[in-house]
Amino acid sequence: MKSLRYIILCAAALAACQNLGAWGSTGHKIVAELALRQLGTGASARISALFPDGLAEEASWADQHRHDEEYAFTDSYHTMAMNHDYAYDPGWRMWRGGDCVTGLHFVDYNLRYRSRLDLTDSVLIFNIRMLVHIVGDMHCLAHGYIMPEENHWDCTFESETTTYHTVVDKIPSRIYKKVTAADAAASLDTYTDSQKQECCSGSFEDWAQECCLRDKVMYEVNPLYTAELAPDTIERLTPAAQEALRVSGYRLGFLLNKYFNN
Amino acid sequence: MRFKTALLPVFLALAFISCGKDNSGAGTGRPASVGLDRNGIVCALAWSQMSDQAKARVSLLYPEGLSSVAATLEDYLAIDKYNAYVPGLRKMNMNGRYFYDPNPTQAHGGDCLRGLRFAHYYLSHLDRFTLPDEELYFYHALLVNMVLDIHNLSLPALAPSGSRWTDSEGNDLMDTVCSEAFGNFSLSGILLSIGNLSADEAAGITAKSFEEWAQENCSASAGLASAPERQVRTAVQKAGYRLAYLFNLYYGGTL
Repeated sequence: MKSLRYIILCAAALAACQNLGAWGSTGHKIVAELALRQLGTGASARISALFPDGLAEEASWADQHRHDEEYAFTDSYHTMAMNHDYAYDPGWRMWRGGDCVTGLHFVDYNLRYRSRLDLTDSVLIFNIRMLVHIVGDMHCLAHGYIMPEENHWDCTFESETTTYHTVVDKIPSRIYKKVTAADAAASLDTYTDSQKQECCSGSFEDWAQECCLRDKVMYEVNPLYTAELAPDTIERLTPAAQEALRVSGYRLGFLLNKYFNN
Repeated sequence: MRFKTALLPVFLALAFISCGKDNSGAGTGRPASVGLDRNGIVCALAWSQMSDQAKARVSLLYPEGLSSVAATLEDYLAIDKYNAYVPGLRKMNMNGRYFYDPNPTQAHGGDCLRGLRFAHYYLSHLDRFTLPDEELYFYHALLVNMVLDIHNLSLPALAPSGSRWTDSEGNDLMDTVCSEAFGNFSLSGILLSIGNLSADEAAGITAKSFEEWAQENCSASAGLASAPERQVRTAVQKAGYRLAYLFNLYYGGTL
């Protein structure tokens, strides 16, 4: 009886883990793999030394620990808000401790000035784990909330009761279910050098604004509170999701090069 | 009749400029500055550096002068949605080598750099938001207070002790030294002494990022014990020029 209870508990925990993560573990891994493809020799060596199991394996760490007491302050860094005109709007999440942009400013400062701050390797690793995840989450279509509504409303999709947020989060794992994250990243790595440079310019606030405009398609396909999602939701959101993964990977690579490629 | 109509914009413009001059940024219009506090000095200096267009806008919003803006933040603290995070922004940390350090405050509502970025985001994107008056005035109040805070040499707390610079009676050392440094000058004397930077020198002050402002404040706070008046004068000067720069950015037609 005890072992049955244990199995049920394990199954429940596993199920919960499956729901963790904005892009799901697949999306975050693809972003990390795409970033790794952009790294210079110095940055690549430093990241490999800090993450011997691979950066992609760490990409969802921030989701798994966001409710730990020690890291609870990072819980608000996974999402951001926008107004009904799709303008990035930080005010809605300020009282909760900030948003993706707040989190990015924080880890960016720590990583740029790790020497003057005397960061230990474990703190450095924490900041990189957060960076990898926050950059991914910022670009996740479902993580820009039109406030005061969010996008967790109950709905039906493919005859199952779910939430719109969950459906959108799972897009990468549906598109790339038959390929590895590294192969998916290779297929997304199509920008020219000048395109990469352009997409990595601007401030974090500019990136957030661009993401909010990309998120708009989500609400064009299924307006707020749609009870039964359009059957072609995945197909219609796939181009935007792929572009979000691509841009996210380039930006993460750009930041890692900035910090470690010297 | 046509003559009067044609001259109306000129009269209005003159009225705005005149209104601005009367304000002199200090809020009360008093000619001398004995007892003028740090906010009053910073705002007077900012006012002297603002464009006519920015002055006109600020005069319309704040007939009592720029220095009246900071105090209005108190009114917002009575409202839950502001009180939930504004007090958390009024701090700053540095490590033992006087480097700005966001880590100790991150889990406790952030610091004045976060607050400054927040207010600046809305005020520099007024085209994207239809802000109700309440929020527009709030962002002004937050901005002015954050500029004052990020140039307050007493504010950076040394981690992990959290100790700050205070005088023997426990008062904020920055304000005490500021009173001593400027107490015997008239407002025009203060402006002559710290408001006379060349265009290049002023651009050097305003070109830096908010993050650099925070770092400068932490570094300069180290000198509060050894050369307090010089450090305080420089910090007040930077605050004034930078506040003017921001208002010119938002309302001076340069954004």
